[in-house]
Amino acid sequence: MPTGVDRFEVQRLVAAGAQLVEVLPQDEYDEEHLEGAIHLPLKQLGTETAAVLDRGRPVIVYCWDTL
Amino acid sequence: MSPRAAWRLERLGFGHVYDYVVGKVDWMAAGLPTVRANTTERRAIDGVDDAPPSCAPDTPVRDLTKGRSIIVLNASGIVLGRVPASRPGGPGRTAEEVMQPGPTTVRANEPLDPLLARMADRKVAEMLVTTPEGRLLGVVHAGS
Repeated sequence: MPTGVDRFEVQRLVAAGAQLVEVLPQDEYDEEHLEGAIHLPLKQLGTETAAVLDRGRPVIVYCWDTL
Repeated sequence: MSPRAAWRLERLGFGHVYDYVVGKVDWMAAGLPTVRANTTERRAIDGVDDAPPSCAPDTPVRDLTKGRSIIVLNASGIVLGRVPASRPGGPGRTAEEVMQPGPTTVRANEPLDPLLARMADRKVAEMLVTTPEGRLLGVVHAGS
C-alpha cells in the first residue's frame, strides 16, 4: 500500500536515494518541477515507461496538490 | 492524481512507493529548489531579508533592538507575532505580552512584484514570508 509522506519525509527519503517522480502532463512538468524529478505522466504510466525507474530504490510520486 | 500513480506503480511491482500528496505547491511554498521555465518572474523568496530581527517570546522588551519591529518566534522558528517599533506596554514586559499576534504572512512562491505593488498601495512596510507551517523564511521590505 502506498504511503503518504510530507515534505520533510520527502527530503529525508531523497537524501537516502529515493527517486522523485512527477506524474503531471508534459507542459506542467516543463513549467516547474522539483529539482531532480523524473517525468512519468500518469496517462503514460506502464511497464515500459516505468522501466526508467530503479526497482531497488523507493519511489516518491507527486502532482500539484491534493486535488 | 498522484494517489492513482502510486497505486499504479504498486501494481507494476514497485515495492516502496510513497505519495507526496500535497505535492509541488507545498514544495514551492516552502521555497525549496525547483527547475522553472520562467526564470524571470521573481518570487517572495527571491527578495527576502533572511536575517530580520527576531526574539523568543519571553525576551524582555527592554532587551529588544530599538527603532525596528521585532518578529517573535518559538523554538521551532514559527512566527507567533510581531512587536511593533513603538513598543506598546513598556519595557518591563515580555515580547509575548506586547506583541501583535498572527501577523499577515505570504508563502515563498508568492510573485514578488505584485506583492510589492500591494504593499505600496496599502502602505505596508514589511511582509513576513513563511513556510506553510509558519516557519519564518525572511521579510520582504517595501521597495526592495
